[in-house]
Amino acid sequence: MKEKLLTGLIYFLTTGLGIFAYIYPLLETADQGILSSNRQNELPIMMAMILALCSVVLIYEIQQYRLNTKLIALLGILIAINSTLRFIDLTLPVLGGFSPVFFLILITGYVFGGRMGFLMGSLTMLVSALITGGVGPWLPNQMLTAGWVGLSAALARRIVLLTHQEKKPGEWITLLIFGFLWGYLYGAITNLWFWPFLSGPSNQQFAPGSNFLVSMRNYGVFYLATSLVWDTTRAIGNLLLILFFGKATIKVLRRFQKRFYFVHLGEEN
Amino acid sequence: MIRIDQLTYRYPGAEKDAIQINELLIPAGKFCLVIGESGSGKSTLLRLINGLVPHFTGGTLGGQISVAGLDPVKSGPQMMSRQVGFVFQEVENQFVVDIVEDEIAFSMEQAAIPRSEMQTRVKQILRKLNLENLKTRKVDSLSGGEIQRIAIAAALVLEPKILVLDEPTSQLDPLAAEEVLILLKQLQQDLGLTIVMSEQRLDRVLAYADMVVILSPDGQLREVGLPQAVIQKCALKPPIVQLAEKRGWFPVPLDVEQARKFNQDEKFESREKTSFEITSQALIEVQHVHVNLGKCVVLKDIDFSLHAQERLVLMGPNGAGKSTLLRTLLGLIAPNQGEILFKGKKIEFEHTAELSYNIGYLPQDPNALLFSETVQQELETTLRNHQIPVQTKSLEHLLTQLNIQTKASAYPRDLSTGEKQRVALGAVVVTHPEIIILDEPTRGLDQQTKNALLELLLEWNQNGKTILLVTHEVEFAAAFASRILILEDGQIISQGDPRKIMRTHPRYTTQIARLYPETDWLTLNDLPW
Amino acid sequence: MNVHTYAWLAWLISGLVVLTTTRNPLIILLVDLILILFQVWITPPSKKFMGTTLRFGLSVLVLSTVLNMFISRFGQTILFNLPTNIPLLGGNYTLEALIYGLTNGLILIGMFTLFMILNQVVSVHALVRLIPQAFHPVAVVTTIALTFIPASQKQFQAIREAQAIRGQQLKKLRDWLPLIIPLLIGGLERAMQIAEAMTARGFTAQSDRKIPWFEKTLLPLGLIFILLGWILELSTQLPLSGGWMILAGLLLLLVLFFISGKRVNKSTYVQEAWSQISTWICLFALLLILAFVIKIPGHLVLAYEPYPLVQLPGFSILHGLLTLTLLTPIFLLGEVKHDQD
Repeated sequence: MKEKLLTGLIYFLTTGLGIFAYIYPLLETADQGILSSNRQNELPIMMAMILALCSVVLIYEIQQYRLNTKLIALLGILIAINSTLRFIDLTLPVLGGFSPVFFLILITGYVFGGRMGFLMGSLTMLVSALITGGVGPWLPNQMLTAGWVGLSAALARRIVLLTHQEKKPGEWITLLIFGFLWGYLYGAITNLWFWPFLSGPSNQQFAPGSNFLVSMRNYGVFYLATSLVWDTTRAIGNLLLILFFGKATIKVLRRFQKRFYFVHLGEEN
Repeated sequence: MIRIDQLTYRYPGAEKDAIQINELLIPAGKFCLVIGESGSGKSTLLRLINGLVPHFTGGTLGGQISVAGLDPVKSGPQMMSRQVGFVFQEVENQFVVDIVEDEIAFSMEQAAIPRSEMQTRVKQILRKLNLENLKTRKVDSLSGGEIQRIAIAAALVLEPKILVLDEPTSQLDPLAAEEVLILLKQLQQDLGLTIVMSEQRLDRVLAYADMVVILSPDGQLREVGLPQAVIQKCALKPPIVQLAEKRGWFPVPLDVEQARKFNQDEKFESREKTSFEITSQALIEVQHVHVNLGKCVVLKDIDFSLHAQERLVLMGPNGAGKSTLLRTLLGLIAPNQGEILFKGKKIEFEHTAELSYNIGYLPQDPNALLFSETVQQELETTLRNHQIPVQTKSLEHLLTQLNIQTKASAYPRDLSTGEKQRVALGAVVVTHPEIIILDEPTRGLDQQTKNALLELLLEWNQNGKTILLVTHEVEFAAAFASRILILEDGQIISQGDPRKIMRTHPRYTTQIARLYPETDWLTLNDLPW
Repeated sequence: MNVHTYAWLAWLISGLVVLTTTRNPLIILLVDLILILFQVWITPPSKKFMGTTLRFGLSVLVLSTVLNMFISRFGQTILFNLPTNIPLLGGNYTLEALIYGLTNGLILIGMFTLFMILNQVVSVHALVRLIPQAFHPVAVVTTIALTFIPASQKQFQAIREAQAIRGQQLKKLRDWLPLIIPLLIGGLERAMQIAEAMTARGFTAQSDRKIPWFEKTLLPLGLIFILLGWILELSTQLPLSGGWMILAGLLLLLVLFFISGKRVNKSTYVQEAWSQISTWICLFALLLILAFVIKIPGHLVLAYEPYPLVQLPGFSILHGLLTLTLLTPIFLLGEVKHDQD
């Protein structure tokens, strides 16, 4: 029980810290001078550090208590497959932000649980960055957000279990909704990394206190202008992937699930 | 070194024991060969030695096993890794790191051996196995034989007393296999290693073994003892042993060298050479084909034809370009130069999917094909791809031919290697193609399954199918081929009558042919007595 | 190139410090040019990268400038205005906002280039080795993934061919199912094999649950400290109190990672050699960091601010010269290359 409370606390804190880190640039308060232009440069780096911290803490928590040899190998392979899928020339018209990686992250989280989903998400981003030469201050941001995609799949699972929709249309609808929403959310969250650079100092013509709303409005416009179309293709891509491959993929993972979770009792001694 | 007492083991959820051994003793320093059909528990027995069974697999274990004075069940695989080096069957799948030296160091890192000592040991083991030039290479750039030797180096670097190998030569061509076996024998003698090895192909390994353990299909210990004594009780003997039995040679020779002393005085007239001519029509004509993959020249000026109702066998070492040639025939690779004609028509503008209607092609790894929920669906998928209506009767007939009629609703991936292969074969021949092409169909099969496959292919050929296959197994090739084609280094170096080819190329010849070089005998069936 | 990864990291940090301590567009432009020069030098001529780099840089500049002009209507030099009755778009567009946005773009380009160079000069394996001991399982996951990617691509090709030879053609998205499922199953089967091989070679994951109680509380405790510290920092006028709490929280986490890293009883085979060049690179990086953090003569030009009325940015020759130290690796390695010839 105590154990559960502790891990619950960790998840609560890291999520809080992460969300806070993301909306912090939107909270800019000119009167306090926190974001006077001199400090504005540091923001993305600071944000990257906080987000890295969140990812690191969550990864640590999960690997410390949940990973056995089989799951380590499983994760390594799933990540490799996901990275492979990413670079396949699909011979189909692929537009904008479509990326097949979220599909497997979501499904892994759904079948193997939120923690595996988190690792799957964040480490997929890490490995992809490593092989494409994409390591940078934007990486923690991608890792945490993709991790959340996988983590949230546990929520989808819970919803399905609570409404007794297993292997019924409800299960698919839930997954489809999750995939669709994450198509947009992933873009909206990861774009926040650029935001401090692009937002400029706050407009002092507005009454203090409404700054958050102004920032939100500005961000909204920024998002609509730069990402909406891009993210729509991702959302629709997720939708199609889950629609066509979801059932079969879940079936395959379920077949293997038992074999991966087995731990011989002697091993713990 | 290894002592087993009243041992039983059952996999989780299984209905009967995978293995039941009342008593088995493998003394230190012996080269012990474990044989038996697939499913007889060879792998299970090997995994008991280092505690992978039951620590990795779960299940219930009864009785006692002691290895190098330890109980692997109590000690667990981590502690046993200091005593037992393990080389797995699909060796390329066991690598964790992609650089040779790092891969070899992996087990030492787990054992927290200091860096300087690791460096010395890596150097030593590479020198010992003559692999120094591979130290910094990437694993995926190595040949099959090299990979096998790296895996052995990685298994030995913790200086274990026992080396366990699960079918180490099954993926290798005969030359590479021979090299690995010689290396093992040498390690056994130099380091005093105890070697326990499972194997399907007895003809080449028997002579290296000091003792043989035969497991029966239900996982019981059938025989144990000296190879000469035990082999006679084995159901499937290599040709040389069968010959010795017929001729009453004693002690039983295990390879051609040992058999020579019995047949020294026997002299035979070379039989009248039958002229070798192909009269049937050419189905596939390959005309001066060159293929480059990337910067690499893989095929050079390939020129041959496949004639109707032929049984053509393509042989050659790994990396000679055999698979590339087959893929080129199917239009999967476009030749850089030259033409391929199918029934007189150029194939270059035909899609592989259309070609495959008339040419059934079974790739090396049947797993690449299988994805359906049931065997039945797997066959239907191919028909659907070709827009052919499903006829239950003909499907049933095919499944019966393939001897998987009882598995029609089974999940293909759960079947045994041999069954999976027959499902894949079914999936490519369900359109009743005129030509069937098979890429190393005997890989990983036990002797019974191989024989069944041989009979099936011969029967299909009798019924008018033209068959082209690639194999390393000379005995299989000799029993099957109506013509042999040898590919080395991307070139056809020889083609023609098996009797002629096998006698002119000693690397591709059978035990019988080697024992009686003056004759044109290839298999036991050719013998006059 | 025998520059130690740590030296490259020091170099990276010095570059980041420069880019985060100044908003002077001239100095940032200089840094960007230096970094692009660096990238040109390390990129083999066969690779076409100038085109993409230029296009990327230009789009970043345009995007950040336009956005800032739109968002920030502040500033006295009005370039043009749109009627205020147009929602969102109406209002003043100022030169100050343009310059501010341009500066943002330049900083972004600098950061991207810094990391692109790092990705190019440091091998993937060296980056994986940076994963601390406390995260050993993660490092193994990453290593397995990197090892398996080429194999997975080969496998995919084999599957594609295997499906093609049974008449399958890829026309619709649905046709990809027979490719993805065998890839997945093959991968899962292989995962079992790798896990088995790792076990046989003495690998165990740190699954012992008997971690001391105080160690378990370190993680949430550290997080609480950081979060509270941050809130304090934002909401009170006492800037230091929050900073200390954040620092304390970070320290707690570091202690935790250190302790659990020590518990991982494994050694590492590969060791990078430290070279003299690495020492020099580190020293110059330190020099650069100090120069931009300490208030040396000329530091006032660093804090350039276009608002409320734009002025010409000043330039400090000393700082300008110091940014040239970012080229240290080129000079040092250039010499080495000549020695080898």
